[in-house]
Amino acid sequence: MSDSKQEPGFDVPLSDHEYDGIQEFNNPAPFWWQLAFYLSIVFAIGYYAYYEIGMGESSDQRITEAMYKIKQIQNANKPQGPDEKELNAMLAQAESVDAGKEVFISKCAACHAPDGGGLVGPNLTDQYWLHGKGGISDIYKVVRDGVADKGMPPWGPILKETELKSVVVFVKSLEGRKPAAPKAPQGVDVTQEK
Amino acid sequence: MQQVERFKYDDGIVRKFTIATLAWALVAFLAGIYIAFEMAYYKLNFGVPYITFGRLRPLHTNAAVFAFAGNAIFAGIYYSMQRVLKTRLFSDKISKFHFWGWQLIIVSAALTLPFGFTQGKEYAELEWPIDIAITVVWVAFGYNMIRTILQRRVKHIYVAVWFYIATFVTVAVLHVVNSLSIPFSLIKSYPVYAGVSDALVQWWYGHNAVAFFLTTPFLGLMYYFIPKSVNRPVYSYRLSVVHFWTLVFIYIWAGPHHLLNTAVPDWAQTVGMAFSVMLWIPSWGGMINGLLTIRGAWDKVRTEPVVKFLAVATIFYGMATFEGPLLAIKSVSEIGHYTDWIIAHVHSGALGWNGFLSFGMIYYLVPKLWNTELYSKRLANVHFWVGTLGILLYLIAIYTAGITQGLMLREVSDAGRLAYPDFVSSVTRIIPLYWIRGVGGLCYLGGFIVMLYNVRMTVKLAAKNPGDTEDEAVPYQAKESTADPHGGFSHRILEAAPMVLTVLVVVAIGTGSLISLAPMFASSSIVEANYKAQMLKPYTALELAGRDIYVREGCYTCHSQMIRKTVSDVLRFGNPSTIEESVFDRPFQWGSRRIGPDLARVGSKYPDLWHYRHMMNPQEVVNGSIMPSYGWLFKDKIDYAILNKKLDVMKSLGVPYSENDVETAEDRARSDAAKIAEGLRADGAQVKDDSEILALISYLQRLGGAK
Repeated sequence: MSDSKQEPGFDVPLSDHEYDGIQEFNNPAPFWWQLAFYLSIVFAIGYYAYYEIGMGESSDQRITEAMYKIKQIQNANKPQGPDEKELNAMLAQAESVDAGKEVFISKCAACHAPDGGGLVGPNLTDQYWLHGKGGISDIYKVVRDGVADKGMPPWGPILKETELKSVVVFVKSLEGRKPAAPKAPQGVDVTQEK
Repeated sequence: MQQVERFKYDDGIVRKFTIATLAWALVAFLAGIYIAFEMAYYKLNFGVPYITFGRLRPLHTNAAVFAFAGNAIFAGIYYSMQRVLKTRLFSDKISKFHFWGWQLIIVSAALTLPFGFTQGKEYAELEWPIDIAITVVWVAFGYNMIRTILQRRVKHIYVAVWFYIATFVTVAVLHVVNSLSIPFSLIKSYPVYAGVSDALVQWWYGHNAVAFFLTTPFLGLMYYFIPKSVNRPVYSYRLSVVHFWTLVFIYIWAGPHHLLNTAVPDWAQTVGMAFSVMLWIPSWGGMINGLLTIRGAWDKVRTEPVVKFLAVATIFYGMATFEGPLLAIKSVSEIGHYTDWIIAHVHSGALGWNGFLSFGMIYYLVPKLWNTELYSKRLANVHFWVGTLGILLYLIAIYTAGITQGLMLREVSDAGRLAYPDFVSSVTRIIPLYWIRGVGGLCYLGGFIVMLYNVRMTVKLAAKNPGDTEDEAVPYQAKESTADPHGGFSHRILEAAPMVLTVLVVVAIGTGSLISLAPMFASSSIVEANYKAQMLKPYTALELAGRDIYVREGCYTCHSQMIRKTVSDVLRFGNPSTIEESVFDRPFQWGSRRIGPDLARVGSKYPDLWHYRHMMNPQEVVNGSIMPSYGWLFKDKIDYAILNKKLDVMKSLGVPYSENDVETAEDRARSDAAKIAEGLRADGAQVKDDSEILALISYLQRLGGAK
């Protein structure tokens, strides 16, 4: 303490440093500050060397591997195909249909109208079908996998399995209803084909 | 001994800039609070395009950065520079030109941005005529400063002035390089860079605009106003030398950390991250020097509002510059990028560091400039506490919002699926926090209004014509040359040779700029090869018209067009975006914030009618959406007549349009639009053949599907 008092810069300002009354000490930078600076430089060089010169993975490798793993997990957890029996059983249960209605209102009504009469997407109450023949398994497939070129998104990745099933059941239950503003028929009249 | 010279400082110009600072601060804060509440309650645009979020947000950022902080910088620089150099400013006329020119630029920004005249690049939105004006006024400021330095009466230039020099030089380079564009009308232009090149140049600019407009000048101000207000010597001269040069050298490289995990070449990202980490300690050098200077006079923090503001500003500087490198780590960026975390980071800098430092400075300046005492210290203390409360409310709410959304969006279930596949569910979750943020903003504004009153009363009670302060000094040429008492290489030599110091700053920032922009030149050739090989189709005339509407409406303020190489991005939006996909994008529209989902692959995901209904009334299609209605797109007409000119300019920039494409642009756009309109009408929608919505739909349907 007494030593530093003698030396200009520590407790005595530098002699020729004066700007509009502002003087300057010349204290050393704190030790931890210097250490951290050197460490950050070492880290930066090491980091760069590892990823750009050494064996560090490229971003493409990283994402490819990560997605490969995800795909494996997804495949291991693949939802079972439609179990028509189960779906038909659900169709008979009012609570399943009601649960499906909730999903429908929040996810499907924007394009198919709340009563299924169709807006952007087709009318779901009539006997005309674009994809499949309106069977419960057909509906299940379309809802799960979507129809890319028609703008129907695949709901499999978005909905939970139970939500998916219940909304399929609800759509099936719409058959024959009389919506307020039905969209003009699209697709094939499945009753004519039979 | 040479005789003492007497002279007057130009205080009038400082008073002008001080008043302008206060006026524009009010505008910036009001705009900020308004858009904050628009996010909490989307209907607040009342269907008016000019005050819709996408157009108002650029106005807020430009007002905060260039109008509020800009005028504060000029006030502080002109005040302190004259005094540490012991001379009046070089030219009163240039100072006045600088002042009025800058205000005119701000006014023209306020008159163009709400009307959708924007270059669509963050903090560089202003269009080409204004860009030219900025260049002229900025050079006038720099010339005035350099000439003032050259006519100084002290031998050495103080550390504050080094920072001012770095500010002038670097901002000039950044602004000119980033704003290069080719006009296609009196007010609109296309940038000379496209896609990834545009992204790299823009974030080299964007990052360093923060560095050299919001950091270096404010550090200079800190080096003047802290020692003056606490009446203590600066803690360490040698620390100021080290942190000045390391900061100036390292900052310029860090830009690509805004583009982590994107299509930007890996090595550029790695450089950006590595330099960001090295930037932490130089930044803290400034904080340490500021705080340790106050250390000997902590009692003043309790009693003096000026010191309170300056001390807290410096602490916020330290926090923000620690957080910056943290966010530049790729895995942290994966969570934080595109979320409110970045908004929180920016505001701890803007509200805490820039705002509070400016306030402290103004409380210091006003009594001096008007030769009086501050009207009320008590009110200044009230301002301090209400403002601090505002910052805390703001930051706590928005950090929470950002991290919440970041974590929700990236969460993947055990079955390998997104836990929150609906983007909108991550938005509705954080709406309550938006209300709190708005209240925080109101507190900050409330404190500021107390300041306005305080300043108003101070000036009112002061003598009418305050005039200029007089001072005296001996010209330095006459003084004995003082050899360095410490021996060895001395930075003192540079301090006595400001032009050499300026050149060295140019070298320091030039090195990093050239090397970190090199990938742009390299990659543009890769891209060229690629699109020739793949025969990518440039935008059709109608798509281009739609794209310009997308830019005009500021869609990029809420939607990104860059699917990153992260699991959650790929699961949610599709394959990672590639460089080739934005090769025709002038400006690039990768975005920096996802208030809504990414749009890079939205093309053909939904039918035209979906977009029609969505733009008309987003909530009808997406339950819980906070996107406002864009009703005017259905009434306003596509400007078909300008399309030939637009394609011609694009062609001159190297986009592979044929002569025929250019000549028939208008006709083709009309027939393309008619086709979309016909399809919509068949689905029962009402639309005219020249409605802007058709162009926008045509553009959106193209995204991700260039063949």
